[in-house]
Amino acid sequence: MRFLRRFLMRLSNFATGRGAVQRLQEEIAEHLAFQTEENMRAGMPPAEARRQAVLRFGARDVFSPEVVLQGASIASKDAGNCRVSVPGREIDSGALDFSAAPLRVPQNRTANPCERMGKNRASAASLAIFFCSAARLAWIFASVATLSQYGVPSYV
Amino acid sequence: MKEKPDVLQGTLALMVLKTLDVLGPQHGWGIARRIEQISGDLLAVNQGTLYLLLLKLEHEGSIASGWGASENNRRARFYRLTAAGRRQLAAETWEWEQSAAIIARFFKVKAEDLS
Repeated sequence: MRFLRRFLMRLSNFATGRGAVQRLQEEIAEHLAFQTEENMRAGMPPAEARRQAVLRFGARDVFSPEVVLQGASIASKDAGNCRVSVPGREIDSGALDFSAAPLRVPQNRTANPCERMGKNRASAASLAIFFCSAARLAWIFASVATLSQYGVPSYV
Repeated sequence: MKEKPDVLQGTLALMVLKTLDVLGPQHGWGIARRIEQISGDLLAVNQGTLYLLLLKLEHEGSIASGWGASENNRRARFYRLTAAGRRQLAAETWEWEQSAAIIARFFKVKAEDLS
């Protein structure tokens, strides 16, 4: 089931041309709109509300393709911004390495995200070509079978 | 340099899973606000990190997501707990309770208890 879900998700991403990075960027935009609205409800002028929303969001560079697809360590990227902060004390960003860990690329797979995306698209394209060829062959066989019933030579 | 206490890994993931379990489908901003609210505003969730965690949990199959409309008709991506996520939450909750119970025993121990 999980394999099927992942396959469908990849197929959907391939079809729509949307990757994880683009999806995250859309979500961030919506998130900032939510936060801006709340800040405005709290009495801030629109420009200040937007500025505070962006500041509150924290490190946006963690959403670069390198980080999202390759799972580079958040802590090393921007340790100061990537943390759960507790008033009066700070929690080590190492606690959040967990959130990036599963995004790490396994050893046996290519580490280059662009290369991986290229391979995924190439394999999906190969699959599509295979299915088209199979459908074409089936149609030819069916046509030959049908025409032979009416005495039409098989080379037609 | 300021002394930083160690926090066990996976705390934020557990908070996210529990929030979705209790409150049902939520969008990212809602999850962040709810975690802060549940913690009595003692925690301030870094929102940027939260989205990476949500992506990771979705890749693992613990949560699923889809675009929808929020209460004020704003487009948002809603996350919900899956059956696998519920199992993960149950397992992690049990582990945390065990860990907490062990640490609690160390806090309570007195020298005469060990003699």
